[in-house]
Amino acid sequence: MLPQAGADAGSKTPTGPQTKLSIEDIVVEFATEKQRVRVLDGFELTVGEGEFVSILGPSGCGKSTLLKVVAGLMEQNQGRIRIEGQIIKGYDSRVGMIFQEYALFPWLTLRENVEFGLRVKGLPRKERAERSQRFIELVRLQGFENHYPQQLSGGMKQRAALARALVMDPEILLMDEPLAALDAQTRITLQDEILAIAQKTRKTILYVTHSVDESVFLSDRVVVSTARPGRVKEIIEIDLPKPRDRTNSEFLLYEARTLKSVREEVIKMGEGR
Amino acid sequence: MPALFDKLIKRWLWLLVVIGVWQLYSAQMPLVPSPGTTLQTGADLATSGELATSAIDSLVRVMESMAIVCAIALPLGFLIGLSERANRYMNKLISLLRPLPPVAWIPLIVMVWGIQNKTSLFLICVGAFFPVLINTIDGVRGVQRIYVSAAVVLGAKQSQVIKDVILPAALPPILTGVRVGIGIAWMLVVIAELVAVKSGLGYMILNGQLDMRLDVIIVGIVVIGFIGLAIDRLYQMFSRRVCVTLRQVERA
Repeated sequence: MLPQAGADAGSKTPTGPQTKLSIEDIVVEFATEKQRVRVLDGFELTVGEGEFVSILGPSGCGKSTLLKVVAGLMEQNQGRIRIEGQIIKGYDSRVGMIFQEYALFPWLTLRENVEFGLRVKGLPRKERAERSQRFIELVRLQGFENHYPQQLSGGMKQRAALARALVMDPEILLMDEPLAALDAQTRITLQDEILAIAQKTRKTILYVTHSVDESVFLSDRVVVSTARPGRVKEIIEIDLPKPRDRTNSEFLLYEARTLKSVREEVIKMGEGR
Repeated sequence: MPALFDKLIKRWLWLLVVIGVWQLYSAQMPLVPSPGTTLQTGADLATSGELATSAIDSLVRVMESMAIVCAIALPLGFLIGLSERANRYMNKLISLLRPLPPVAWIPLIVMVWGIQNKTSLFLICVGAFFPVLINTIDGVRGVQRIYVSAAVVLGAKQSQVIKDVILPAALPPILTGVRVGIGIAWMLVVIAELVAVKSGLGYMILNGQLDMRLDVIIVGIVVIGFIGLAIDRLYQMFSRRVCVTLRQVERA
């Protein structure tokens, strides 16, 4: 029942999760013609094994940039990324990523998209087919294997992208505003699904969003980032059992507290312009 | 049925008008052949095999030229599109050569190489080269970064990114470039055969002029037009076959 539950499934100790991912003092600067813009200014965060952590912050606070650095798509000017204490540079097969724009390849069918990573890894056809089928079923897209991305709805596309990342069995999954382009109804359905898949597969998840509701609903901890340059402003632990009830008064209190913290930064961002 | 008939009339009315005017005109001008005579000439040229031989000569020239063009322009386009350094080396040269009309090369190349097949191939290649090159460069440059990022986080190496992401993503504009190139090649093959080589459809109509055979010239022009149309249709069928994204766009 648990696809690729992995050896890490039961390793969570009662005293708290072991550190899986450490983000240490990350600084990123973009050089434009006239000036250097500091996007991240000493970002510090540790994520425990199997933990679901959201990063919440105003647009342009560098949260997407941080994910790119962790994924090895961008180089930091300063700082280190560690997985289980070991410094990583560039792409690491233990890290998977989901993008807001889905980034499915339009020239490949759903199945071919899901198999892409297995194919570049050189897995034989039969094994690819077996593994991709398992994850297509996990995200409930069976029957659409031979459809092209353009023939799928936004929600289906993001589920396909999720399957494409999960089939590689990453230990850490980075999600960059995965639901931002979807309508409200689909977003809520997919939040439930992401939660279910996260619990089923026990992945360590670092989730970037600008939705307060989403972060409080999904995360064990919500990291509020400052306005640019991004730094950790506050970490709010959401001490509620999952799945959470959005109408619960405690949930609403967490939401209010998180919203207040983010709003201060959004206002700062506005003043800075 | 009447609807279909109506549609056919509307579509081909212009042809009836052209033939009618032509018939009247040819009755007054002794040099101008009538539509009937021309049709007869066309049938004669077809049965004697002269038409087929000329058409094949021209088609082979276009295919040879396009093979040469693709063999150079596609890899070069990829190189320039992918590497900023290659772009810096080639940029000035390309922007200098590109606006030159291909026919401007004729005096030079005829003087150096004389009247021979090589001369005509050069002329065709020069004309077809730039649309293929420019579309390849733009196609490669225009590939959305996000596809590359997605492939990299799935473990693709640089060579795999080029082969499995950039190539298929850039394929539609590249195919368009080759299509434009073929169109230009088909125009230039006729020009080349008028001045630089002694066979093909262009040479056939040139001979028609020298023999004062207007019927041969008209047959030649019509055949050149239809073959050009057929090549383009076939090429588009081929494009849809090799490129999934093009099929998708049309279905949507």
